[in-house]
Amino acid sequence: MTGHNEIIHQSIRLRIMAALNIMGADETIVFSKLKGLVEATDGNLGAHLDALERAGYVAIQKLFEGKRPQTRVKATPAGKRAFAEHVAYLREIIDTSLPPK
Amino acid sequence: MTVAAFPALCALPGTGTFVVGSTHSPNGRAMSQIDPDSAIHALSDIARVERRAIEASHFADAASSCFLWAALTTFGYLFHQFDPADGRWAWGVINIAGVVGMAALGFRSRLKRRSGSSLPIDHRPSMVQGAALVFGSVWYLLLTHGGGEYRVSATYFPTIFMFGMIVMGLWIGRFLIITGVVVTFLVLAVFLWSGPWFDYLMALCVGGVLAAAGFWFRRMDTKA
Repeated sequence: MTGHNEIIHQSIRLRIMAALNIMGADETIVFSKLKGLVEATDGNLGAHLDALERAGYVAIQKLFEGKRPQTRVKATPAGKRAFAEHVAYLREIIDTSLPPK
Repeated sequence: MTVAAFPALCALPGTGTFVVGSTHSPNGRAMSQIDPDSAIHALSDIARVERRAIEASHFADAASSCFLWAALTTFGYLFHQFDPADGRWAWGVINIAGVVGMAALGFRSRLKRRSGSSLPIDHRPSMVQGAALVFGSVWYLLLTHGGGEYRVSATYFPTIFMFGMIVMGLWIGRFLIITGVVVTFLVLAVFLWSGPWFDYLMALCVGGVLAAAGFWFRRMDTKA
């Protein structure tokens, strides 16, 4: 059984990784759109993104679109791998809890 | 090995946390276990977010298509209004430009997701519009032998396109169905009662509503 990933398992961080995981390797998502997808507040999302960035699971780019600052986020290969492993771990928990046929 | 009686809670306040029990291995390293109910809850949460993200990507693609066809159809009707003699062949060029533009949008979309994405590429919208176009063209040629009136063809093909949009609405969302039905009725009203204002009103109804739909999809994409 693969291990439980404490960083990813927190519900907002799990949603963040789920949203980022379906995107391409070079594809980024704007902070405001990610906020809508994971149903978090600005501060909450920012804090969780910091935690994921520190773990090396997401990369955060701060750019300017015209004069407006824009934050873009993407999952790193390590983040995608950790998410896939965590999902596999969750599935294993459910499978092993089912009564044998 | 001991199992703590309390759930391990995450450090960040104000967020939901799935129930996790803490276990210690013989070497003292903390390990954790998640109960099956929490695992089910977490997986359903993931599925919900993925569904919303896929929906948002459909909205982004639909917005680009709507803007493309809004620009092309508005140009086509206005061009015909000012130059009716060349208007007919202009529509041929516009339709080819539309198909090429759609292919380019699809290519761009794939390029963005070309590696590492688990987002499935949905071929259904292009298949529906392709099938509707072939069906509509075959019947149009059979009934008119290619020599139908301009007003008939300029009304008929937008309704075929809208029919495709209504079908796509069955899985993308009801807004497409509403847009398709509204434009179809507007187009029929313009066909029946517009008189010499036909091209202007068609540009307004088809181009205008498609542009409005494009803005709506873009808004939904950023809100999703």
